Amino acid sequence: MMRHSVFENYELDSPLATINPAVKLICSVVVMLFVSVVFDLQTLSLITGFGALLLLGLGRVQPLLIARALFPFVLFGLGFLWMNALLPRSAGTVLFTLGPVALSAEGLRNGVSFFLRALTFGVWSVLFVASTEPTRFVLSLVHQLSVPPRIAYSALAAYRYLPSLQIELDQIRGAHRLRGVGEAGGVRGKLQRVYRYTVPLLAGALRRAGRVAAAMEARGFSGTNRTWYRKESLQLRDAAYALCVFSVTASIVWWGMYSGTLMLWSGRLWE
Amino acid sequence: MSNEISNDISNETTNRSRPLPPALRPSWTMRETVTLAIIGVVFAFLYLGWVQVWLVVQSMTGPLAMDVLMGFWFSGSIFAAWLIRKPFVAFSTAMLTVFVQILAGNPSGAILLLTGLVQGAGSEVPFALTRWKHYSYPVLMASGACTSVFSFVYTYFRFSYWELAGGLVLTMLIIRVVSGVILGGVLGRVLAGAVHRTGVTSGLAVDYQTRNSE
Repeated sequence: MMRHSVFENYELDSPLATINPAVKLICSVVVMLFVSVVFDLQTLSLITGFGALLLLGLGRVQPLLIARALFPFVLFGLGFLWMNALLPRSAGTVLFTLGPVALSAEGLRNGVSFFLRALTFGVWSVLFVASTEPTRFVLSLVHQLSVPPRIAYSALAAYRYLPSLQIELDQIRGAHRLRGVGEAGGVRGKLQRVYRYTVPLLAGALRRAGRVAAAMEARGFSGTNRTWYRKESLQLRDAAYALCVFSVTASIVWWGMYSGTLMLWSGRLWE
Repeated sequence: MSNEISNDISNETTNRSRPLPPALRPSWTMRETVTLAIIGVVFAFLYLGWVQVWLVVQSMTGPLAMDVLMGFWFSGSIFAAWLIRKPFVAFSTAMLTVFVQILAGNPSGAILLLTGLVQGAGSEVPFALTRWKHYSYPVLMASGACTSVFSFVYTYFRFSYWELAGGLVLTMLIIRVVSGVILGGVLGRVLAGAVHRTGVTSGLAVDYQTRNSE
C-alpha cells in the first residue's frame, strides 16, 4: 500500500508541512550541530526520540516509511559501532576476548554513541526531507535567508538529484548486466566494478546538471530583478515550532546535566 | 604591406569585440553553479561509501588505514576544479560534500565542517598559486599533496599525534602525501578525464581550454 519514498512524502498534508522550510532546516541543522558534541547515550537517545515524536505527531509520517528512510543511517552507524568496539583509540577494560578480538567497555560505549548519533542525524534529516516541498524550500531560501536565486536554484537541482542517485545506479547496473559485463569476484574485480559504475554515474550527473541549468536559464531563474508568483513568509506557527524544538532540546540537556549523565566533547574525538 | 596592417587591425578588433566564452568569465554561470552543486552531492555519497571501505580496512589492518585511504576524500575537489577552472571551486566542493555528508548521517557531525574547511583550504592553495590558470597533472597532484599536509597538521592536533613516536608520525605523513597525490590528484583527474571524454562537459571551461590548446 505504501510505495512512495521519503522524498515524495511532502505531497501528503501534515502540520509539519506548513512550517516555513528555512525555519525547519535551521532547527534541524542547529540540533544536529549540537548533537555532534554530545556523547552520552541518555541525551542522544532522548533527542532522537524527540525527533521521532515530531516526525510521527506533527509530520504524520508512517512508521514503516520512517524505518525504511532510516535504514541507510542504521547501516552506516553499525559500521562505526563495530569499528569503535573492536579498535578503540586507547585500551580500556576488556569485556571479553574472542580469539584475537578483544571487546573493550570504552570502545563499545563509544561505538554505541556513534551509532546513536548516526540515527539522530537520520531522524532530524528525515524530519526536514519528509515534510518539505522542494519549491517552497527554494522560495524560503530566497525570501527568508536572502540567498541569491542562482545559488538557491542550484541547491534545488542538487536536492532533487538526491533521490535519483539510487535509480541511476540501478540503471547503470542493469545496463551493464544487459550487455553481459561480467561481475568478476575478488578485490580487483570489485575495484573495476566501482570504477565502471562511478564514471557513468558522474557523467549522468553532469549531463543532468547541464540540462537543468539550461532549462532554468531559459526561464530566467538566474536573473536578479525577478518577481515572485508565490512568496514565503514567516508566521506565528514557525516561531512556535522553533521555540518547541529548542526548549525541549534544552530541557533534555538540562536534565542530563541535573542527573549528571551529560557528556560533552572534551576536545578530542575517539578518546 | 597594407594588407598586413589591415589584417592586424581586423585581428585586433575581432579579439576585442569577441566576448569571452561564458566558461572563461570570472563570474559564475548557472551551468557552473548547478554542476558544482551536483558534483558535491555525488561525491558526498562516494565519500560516504569510502568511509565504509575505511572502516572495514581499519578494523583489519589498524589505524594506518586512514592515511593510506585518505586521498580519495580529496578527489572531488580536484575533479571539480579541473572541470570548472574557477577560483574557489576546490574549496566550495570540499565544503559542500561535508555539508551533504552531515545531512546524510556521517556520525562525526559538526567536526566535519572543520575538516572540510582545512581540506578545502589545502586543495585550493596550489590552484591559487597558479592564479587559477593551470590545471595540468603536476598542479593537480600538488593540490592532493597540499591537502594531505593541511589535513595532517589538523589530525596531528585533533588526535594528539605528539604522543606517538617521531618515526611513526613521519611515516604516516609520507603515506598520506602519497595517498593524496595518487587517490586525490591522479584519481580525481582520471575520473574527470573519463567523464570529459563522454562529452557531457561541453560548455564548461575544460571543454574550451582543451579544444583551444589542440
